[in-house]
Amino acid sequence: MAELQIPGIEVEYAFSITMNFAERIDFVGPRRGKGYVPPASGTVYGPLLNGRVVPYSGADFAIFREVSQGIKANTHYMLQADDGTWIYINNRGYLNRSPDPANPGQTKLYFRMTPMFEAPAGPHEWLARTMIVGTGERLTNPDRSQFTYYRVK
Amino acid sequence: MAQPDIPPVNLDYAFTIRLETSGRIAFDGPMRSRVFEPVSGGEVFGPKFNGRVVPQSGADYASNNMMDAHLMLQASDGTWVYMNVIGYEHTVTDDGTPYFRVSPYFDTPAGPHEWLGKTVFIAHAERFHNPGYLMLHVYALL
Repeated sequence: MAELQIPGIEVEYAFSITMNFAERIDFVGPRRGKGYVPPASGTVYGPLLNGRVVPYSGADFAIFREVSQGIKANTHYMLQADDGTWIYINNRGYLNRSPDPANPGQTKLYFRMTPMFEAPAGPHEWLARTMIVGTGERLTNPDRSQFTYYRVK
Repeated sequence: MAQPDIPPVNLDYAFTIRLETSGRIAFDGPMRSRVFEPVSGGEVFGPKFNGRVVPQSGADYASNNMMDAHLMLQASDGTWVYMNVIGYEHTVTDDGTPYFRVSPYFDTPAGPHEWLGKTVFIAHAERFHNPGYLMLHVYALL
């Protein structure tokens, strides 16, 4: 095959979400484990979106086989922008473990996500036709997750 | 609110998929459009994966300009790989050439390719005609 030009792909910072949790429910079924982790509250902030996570509007319905091997996240939530617009987010991706620099010998969970959104026509409809990628980590005291989202140009 | 440091995001070119299609069927329903675009073959090449697209193993079942392809790949070592590609088809306004921003997800057995099933990828894709195929340039989100 002739020499192929691989186009680059660029991303720009879009917004962050801090999500606070009050409970985590995991159970193991005959074929796989299932998580139910609803958000108690949360904040959306950044250059392209500001608002809140609607408390108990959904959950991460995660899938795992062995939690130590990683988790497949599948979250359904509602967000509400500062102008009142309702936004649905389905956050898909993985939690994997990496060494924790703050605690030698320990590992920490980090997220890699590709959320899909539904938003009404108007200033936020770009969310429903833009590929967005996210990174994040799970934090403790208090129990929360911190996500950073980037728009794929 | 104080702005925390924005962590850098690193994308690493992984491989390119040449996805050949034929026999496209499309219709508009009352709620949504639907496309059935069967996969007739192709190849995968690049630094992280080499193999083939299994002919007639699936299709793009796109709806309302959202890609939703399900198909099988086979690595050059014989490993079977299921791929689901979701994302958006955009139209470039100046010359009308469509391009895609999509995210492929994979299921693979334990072994040398299992990282595909634990990694988030994004891809830039373009459509070509006569013969019809898509080129997906796939990047791993490190």
